[in-house]
Amino acid sequence: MDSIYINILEQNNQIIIECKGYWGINKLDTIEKRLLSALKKNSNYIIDLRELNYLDSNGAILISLFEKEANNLGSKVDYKINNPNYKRLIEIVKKSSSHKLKRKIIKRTFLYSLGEKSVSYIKDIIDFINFLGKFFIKSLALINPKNFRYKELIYFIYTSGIAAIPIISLTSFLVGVVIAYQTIVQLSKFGADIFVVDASAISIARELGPMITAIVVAGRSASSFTAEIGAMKLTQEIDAMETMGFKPFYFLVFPRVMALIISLPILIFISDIVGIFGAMVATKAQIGLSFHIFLQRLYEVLALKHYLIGLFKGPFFAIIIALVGTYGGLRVTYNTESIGLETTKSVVNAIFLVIVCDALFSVIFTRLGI
Amino acid sequence: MKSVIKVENLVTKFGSKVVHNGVNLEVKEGEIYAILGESGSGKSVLLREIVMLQKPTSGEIYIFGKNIKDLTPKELIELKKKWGVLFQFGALFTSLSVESNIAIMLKEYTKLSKKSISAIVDAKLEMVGLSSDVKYLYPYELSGGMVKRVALARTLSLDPKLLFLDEPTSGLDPVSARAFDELIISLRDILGLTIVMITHDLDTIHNIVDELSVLADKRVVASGTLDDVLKSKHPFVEKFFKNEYFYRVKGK
Repeated sequence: MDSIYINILEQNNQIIIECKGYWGINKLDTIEKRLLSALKKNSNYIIDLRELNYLDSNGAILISLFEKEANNLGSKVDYKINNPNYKRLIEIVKKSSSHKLKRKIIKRTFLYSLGEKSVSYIKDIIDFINFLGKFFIKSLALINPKNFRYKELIYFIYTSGIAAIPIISLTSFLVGVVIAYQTIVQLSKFGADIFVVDASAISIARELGPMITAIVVAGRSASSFTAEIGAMKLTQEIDAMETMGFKPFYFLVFPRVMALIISLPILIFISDIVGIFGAMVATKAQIGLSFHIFLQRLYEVLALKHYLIGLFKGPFFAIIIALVGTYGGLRVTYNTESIGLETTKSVVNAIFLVIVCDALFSVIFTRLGI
Repeated sequence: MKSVIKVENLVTKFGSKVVHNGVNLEVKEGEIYAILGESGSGKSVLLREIVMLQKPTSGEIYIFGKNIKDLTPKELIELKKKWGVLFQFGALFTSLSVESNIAIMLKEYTKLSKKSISAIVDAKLEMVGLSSDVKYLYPYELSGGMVKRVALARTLSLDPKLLFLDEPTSGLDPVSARAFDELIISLRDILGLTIVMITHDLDTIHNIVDELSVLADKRVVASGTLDDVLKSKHPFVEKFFKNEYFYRVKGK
């Protein structure tokens, strides 16, 4: 059935390749196979295009590729063409430079990639520390309130803070329920059910509230900061700002950092309330402890310091999340893929650094006896 | 001659804003056709509707004699293999090298060997006036003009019968722009392409365009050959063509 398009005959030491029919793009792969199967050493070919109804440049390229390969094998190729357009087409595609330049491929041994990875990690860390330094130096300029963008600040408080309230409430509520429920199961073995209030309230106010809030905000805002700034970088908006004399730091980085510093403690406050409410509901469902008794016990055991420690962590987590997010955005290079890559990285790094920071606080506060 | 594209009574509304109110045009086979109009007159929207990136509010569009509303998914793919669209800013895939950008349709739609695909990539680069050295580069390493050429090479990779060009010469220097015009003409002559372009380039319109339509006031206010269009008394036509620059182009 390929003979509709191509027919190969041998006559008086010559191989005649008759090309026929309509050489459209859909048929080129079969034509290519037939053509290449006819390649032999030291022969004389005649390519006959007189019965061809349609030839496009891709077909012509295949023919010229065949000629090149045949010449490499010491064969000669002649044409029989009566359509001047085909002739022109083949001449045009033949011009394409035959020199092949190969890009140098570096062989990656295990040691090579280990070294490459390590260096790039160290560079990343140094870069981030540089960014941190720049941030603190530039924040000195904020002593002059003219440098501050209030409109952007309000916008980011809304998108990163207020819009996150529902999801943070829901997560905190569920975590509160789970904590209380699991604690009761253990405590009831000792008949110490009432201590569920101590356990859940203190753990939520001190650790879980801030952590849940930080993780949700890192997932929501670190990613969106990176993607927003990254897209701006890709479309050269940041370059445009630079040339107008605007400092991307004041327009892009500070409003985001400040917005999180303001909104994170508030979110933690909400998370504490809803989480403890979740614990209350679970306790009531499990052992029938009334809200009234729960709250009375809560008042006795939850010292102010636990709650304040939780809130105190907020601004630190906020700085980590916002700086990692914006830094990721500014690192985006020229392709769209890097937006995805940097976004993933900033979420992972933000969550990781928040946990590291929390662990540090935990040790410090325990040592200080708070 | 057969008509390749036919647009009938096209109406486009975005909310209460009317962009097109009864646009009609016809592009014949082997023609270089230009769509002209002020910014905001809906040229790009019209092009997007023809290539099915956007749906018109009402009206019919026929391509190769078939209403694009009635195409089956299979026919759609076949149609899309037969046309090529060159976007104004190239729209190269930034994560792929020049070579992969040009080869992507060949890899997707044919079973050609790597060797042939690489020969096709070389030849297409040559056709648009680039050396094959650029094929290992990435889009961000290219200059604006090169991006346009690579994008054209990608558009030509499957040898389309119908080519849509969105401001092909914008952003090119005058010499490259004229070379681009010549390239378009020779493509049309050799491959029998039909070319539809949005352009503001008076040289292009004067040198290579066979027929054109002028979009203004939400419809086509003048169409036909350049001489036909020049007879129109519409203010936009007057402003656009009847000026010193155009007479200089025409005088050449």
